[in-house]
Amino acid sequence: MSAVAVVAATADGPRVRRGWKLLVGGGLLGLLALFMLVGPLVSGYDPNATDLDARFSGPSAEHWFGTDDLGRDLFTRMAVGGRMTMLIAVGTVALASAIAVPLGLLTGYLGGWVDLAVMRVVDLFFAIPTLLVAIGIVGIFGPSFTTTMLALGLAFWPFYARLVRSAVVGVRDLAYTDAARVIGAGRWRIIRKEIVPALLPLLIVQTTVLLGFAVLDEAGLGFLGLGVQPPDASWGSLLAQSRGFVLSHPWIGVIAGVPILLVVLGINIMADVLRDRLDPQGAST
Amino acid sequence: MSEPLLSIESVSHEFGARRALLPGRRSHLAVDDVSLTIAAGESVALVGESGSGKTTLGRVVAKLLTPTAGTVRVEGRDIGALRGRDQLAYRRTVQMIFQNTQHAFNPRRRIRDILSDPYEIHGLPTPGGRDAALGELLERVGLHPSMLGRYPHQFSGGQRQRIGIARALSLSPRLIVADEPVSALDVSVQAQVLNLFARLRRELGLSLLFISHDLRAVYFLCERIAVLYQGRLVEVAPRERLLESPLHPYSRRLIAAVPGLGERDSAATGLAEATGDAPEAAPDRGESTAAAVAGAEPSPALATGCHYAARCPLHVRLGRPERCLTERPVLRTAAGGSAVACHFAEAAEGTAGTPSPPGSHVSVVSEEVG
Repeated sequence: MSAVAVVAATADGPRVRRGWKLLVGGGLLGLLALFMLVGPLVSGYDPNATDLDARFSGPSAEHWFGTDDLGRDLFTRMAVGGRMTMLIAVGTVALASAIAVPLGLLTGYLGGWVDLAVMRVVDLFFAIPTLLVAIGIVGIFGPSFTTTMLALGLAFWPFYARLVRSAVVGVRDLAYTDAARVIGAGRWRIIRKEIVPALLPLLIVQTTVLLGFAVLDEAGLGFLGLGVQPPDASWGSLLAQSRGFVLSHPWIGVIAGVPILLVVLGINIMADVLRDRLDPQGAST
Repeated sequence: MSEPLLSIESVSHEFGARRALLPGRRSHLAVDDVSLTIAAGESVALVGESGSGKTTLGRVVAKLLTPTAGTVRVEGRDIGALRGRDQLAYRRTVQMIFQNTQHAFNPRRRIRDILSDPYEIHGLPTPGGRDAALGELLERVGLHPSMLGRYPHQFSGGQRQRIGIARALSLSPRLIVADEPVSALDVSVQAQVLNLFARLRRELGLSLLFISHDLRAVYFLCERIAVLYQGRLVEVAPRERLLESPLHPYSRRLIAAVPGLGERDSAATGLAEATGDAPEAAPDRGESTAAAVAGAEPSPALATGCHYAARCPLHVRLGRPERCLTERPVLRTAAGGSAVACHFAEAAEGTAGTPSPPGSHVSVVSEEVG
C-alpha cells in the first residue's frame, strides 16, 4: 500500500479510474495481513498446542477454522503459517532481486562477453522448471525455512535478471544516455541517474508479481514436503498435511488453500494497479 | 591560431568490424577515410543523404563512438587517448546537440535536474547560486527561468531543442556538434532555432559542425560545406562556391534536388536527374547506369575506383572512362577554395554551361588530368 502512495506522486500519465482494483486488492491484502498479525492473539490458542480430544473438529465457535489431526487450532496455525509464508516470499524476492537487479544492470549496460556469459547461465535455468531448480537446491541442503528461501530465490533470479537486462538495453540506447555521456557523466552516474529511474516502475511491478509466485511456489514445495518442517507451520506445509485427510475431512484442504488463493489474487491485482499507474503507455510485463 | 580547433584525420568507422571476423557477419563501413578541419569560430556543414555517415562522423567527433581508424584532434590533442580529467576537459570543449528532442532528455527528470548535471559533473562554480545560473542559461536560449520546474514533455519540440542547446552551452564549449538539430521541427520553428544558432555563434564565437540534409539551413548558418557520399567526402567548399558551382557530380545532383536553390544546375545536369533522380529517392540498383556499368555495383566495400561511378551522370557522359573504376579519387584542391574527390570534376564544370556531345570532352579531360 505504501508503495502506491510513494510512486503515485511521480506518475505523470493520464490517470484512468481504477479505484475498484485498488480497493479489492488492497482490502484483500489488508485483511490477510490483519489475520496473520493479530489472528493468534484473538484466537488465544498456541499454534503447536495439541488437544487430542478435539481432533478433526469442524469449524465452530471454539475453533473458527476447526482443528487438525492432533487437535491444533487451524485458525491460529494458518495465521502463524501465513507469517512464515510471507516471510519466505519476501526473503525469496529480496534474494532474487539482490542477484538479478545488479546482474541485469551490469549485463545490459556493459554488454559484451559479460552479457554473453551471464545470459548463457540464465538460458540454462530457463531450460529447467523453476520448481525443479528449487527442489534440487532443497535436495542439496535439506528442507528448512532458510533453504526454502534460498532455493526459491536462486530459482527466481534468472527470469528477473533477463527482464532487467532487456529493459536496460532499451534505455541504454536512448538518446538521453548519449546526452549524459556527452555532458561527461560516467558509467555509474548514468546507471544511477538515467537508467535506474527508468527501471523503477518495472522493478516495483516485477517485485510484486514475484511475491505472488513465491507464495505459490512455497506452497508447492511445502506440499511436496520439502518446505518448512513440522511442527512449524507454513501455508505450504499445512496444505501438505491436509492432503492426508482430503477424503475424510476435505474442509481442512479448503481452509489451507483458500488463503493462498486470496493472497496471490490480492498481490496480482495490486501489481496490476501499480503497472497501470507507473506505466501510462500500458506496456505489459 | 594557425592550428585548427578540430581536425579529423583519415577517420574511418566500420560497424561490426570486430564481429566481421566471424563467418556470416557483414560489417558496414559508415565513414571511409574522412579528413576535415574546423578552425576556431568557423561553422562547417556536413551534408549528405541519409546513410551517408554524417551522423556517425558527428558521434565520432563527440566521442560517443571510437573510430576504427584515424584520429580526431581537438586543440591538437588526440581525443582517443583522453581519459578521466582530460576527457572531462574535452567535454567542456566539444558539446553535442541531438536530432530527436523527444528522447534527448530523461522524461523522469525536471529541467532543473537535467541542466544541473553539467554543473555537478564538472564542479562548475555558480557564484549567484545554481538556480540563478540555470535561469540565466535558459534566458540565453530564449526560455523563461520559471520553466525550470517542468518536465521535458511539457515543452514543444522547438523549446526542447533550446533546452538541448542550453545544456550544451552550460559547459561553455568552443565547438558544438549539431546533429540535424532542426530537421525534426516545424518549419516555422526551424527558423527560430537557426536564428538562435546564428546569434549564439556571433555572441560566443562558437565553432559549429552542423550535420544536416537541409541545404537551406546549411546555407544560412555555415561558411563551409562538406558533402559526404556513402561515407566518403566527395567535396568540401566554401558555401557560395558549393551552391553556385559545385564540382562533384554528386554535389550537383544534391543541390539540384533542392527546389529554388539549384535552378541553374538543374538546367545543366538535366531535368531527369533533378526530379526523378533525387539523391534519397533512387535505389542504386534500379538505375540504368548501374545496370549498364559491369562490375561497378555501388558498394561502400568497393576499394578500387570511385564509389559514385555507378550513379554518376558525368561518368556516362564522358564515355565511362576506365579510371573511374580502377582508381579511387582523392580529395584534391580545385579552383575557388574547393576540394573535390573526382577525377573529372573540371570536365563537369566545362559542360555545365552548354550541354554538348560527350565525345568532344573526353580529349579535353585527358589532357587536363593526364
